Amino acid sequence: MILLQIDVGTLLIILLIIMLIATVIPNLLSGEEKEKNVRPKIFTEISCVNNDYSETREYVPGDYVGKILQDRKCPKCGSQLYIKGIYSVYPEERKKESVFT
Amino acid sequence: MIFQMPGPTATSDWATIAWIIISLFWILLLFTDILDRSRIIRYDRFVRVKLMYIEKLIKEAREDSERFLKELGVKDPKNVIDGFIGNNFVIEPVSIEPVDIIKRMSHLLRTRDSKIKAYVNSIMPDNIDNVKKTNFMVLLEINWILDFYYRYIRHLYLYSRKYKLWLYLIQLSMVLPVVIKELEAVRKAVEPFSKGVPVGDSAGPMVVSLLAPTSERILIEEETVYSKIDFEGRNLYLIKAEGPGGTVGRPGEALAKLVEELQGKVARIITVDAALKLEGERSGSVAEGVGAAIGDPGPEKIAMERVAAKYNIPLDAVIIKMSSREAITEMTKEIYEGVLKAAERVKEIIRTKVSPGSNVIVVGVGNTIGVK
Ligand SMILES: [Zn+2]
Repeated sequence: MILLQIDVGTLLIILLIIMLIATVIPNLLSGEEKEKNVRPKIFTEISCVNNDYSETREYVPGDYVGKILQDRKCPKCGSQLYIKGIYSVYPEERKKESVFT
Repeated sequence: MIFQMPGPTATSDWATIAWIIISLFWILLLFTDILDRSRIIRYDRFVRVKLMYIEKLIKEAREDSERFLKELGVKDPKNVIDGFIGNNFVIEPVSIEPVDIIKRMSHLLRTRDSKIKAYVNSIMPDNIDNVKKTNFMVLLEINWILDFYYRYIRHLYLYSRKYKLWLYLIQLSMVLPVVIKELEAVRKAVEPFSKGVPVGDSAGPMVVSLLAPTSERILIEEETVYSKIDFEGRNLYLIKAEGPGGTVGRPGEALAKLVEELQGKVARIITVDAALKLEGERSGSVAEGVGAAIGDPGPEKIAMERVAAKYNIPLDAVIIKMSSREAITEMTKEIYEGVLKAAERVKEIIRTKVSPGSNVIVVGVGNTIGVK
């Protein structure tokens, strides 16, 4: 019971200190929200010119869309294979950006 | 509560001190500009921290670009980049007298292009292929954009401090977070352009490439090619920039030239381009409209509109939506799926609106990095 008998003055001082802390701390805590340097994984989609076969593998430097693969042939019909598309996939985290879609 | 405080004679000394402090606070807050000043200090610090962050982005982009140059065997890459970013600006043509402004603007832009090309050719070893050269031109521009924004923001900051233009400072700190997001994206563009990976903006050329993956590409304008294929009985002409280097080519002028070569006998022109989505829209969604889908300063777009109007050719636009960040970084899967959809949409337009036997032109607008 004795501990609770704080007079008005002390109470005000405590209040002042609390207010001071409450204003300063958020300022100190709100450091730079730095963006993590997330690199996407890049894939290459390979397709047959006759459109009967396709596969996806990891991107290899030198790949470009429309490149005809010289060293391979379509396992189904034996015609030329070409690179149909190159795209990247980000780790899950980044997708949270779009909440309303 | 505070105003019901008893006078100094009442409770204790602590109460007196507290009462004095609080009164002083009120006086300071109400009758001095201490509050405004403390806020300005905060804005000031905020802008300074952001400027330092941009400096960091510049440094990172710089290091990556210099590494790219070193791998190609260029000596002294630092001076190469400095030599460009310090000497690259275009003075806008007079617009108060708009007669032939497009011609004048296009002339200035071409002069600039050939200047960059000559510069890159002068510093690159002879055995480097064109793809690497065009990609490096983009890297130079990326470095220039970052450097320019840094200098401009620094200018606004120092200027507002010098003349105590606090509103400038506050406005600057309000827009900076958005500007920084854009600059972060620009910095990230170094990666795809040094590797040669398609970016979001490559969607247009990629659609064209999908329609005729293995056809011959014939040069029609500088850095611009076309292919001719037979699509279900229609003569399909496909225009895109010359890949797989990072260039946008001259799609408008190429289209005008091709239509003239065909003596205006074209049933339909379809332009395909990446477009900025609105917030909340889904990346990679495809929309169809009317007009020339191209985001150039003017010359290319007007060339398309003029030739279409001259021969009364319907001009369709198919767009693939994405954010400004996605447009300049590695093409994401969603956008790639959008590209596939857009290609189907183009085929659909041709099937339904172009009768067999007639000519139709599809123009894939955008940077053709990583797309042949
Ligand atoms: Zn096959």
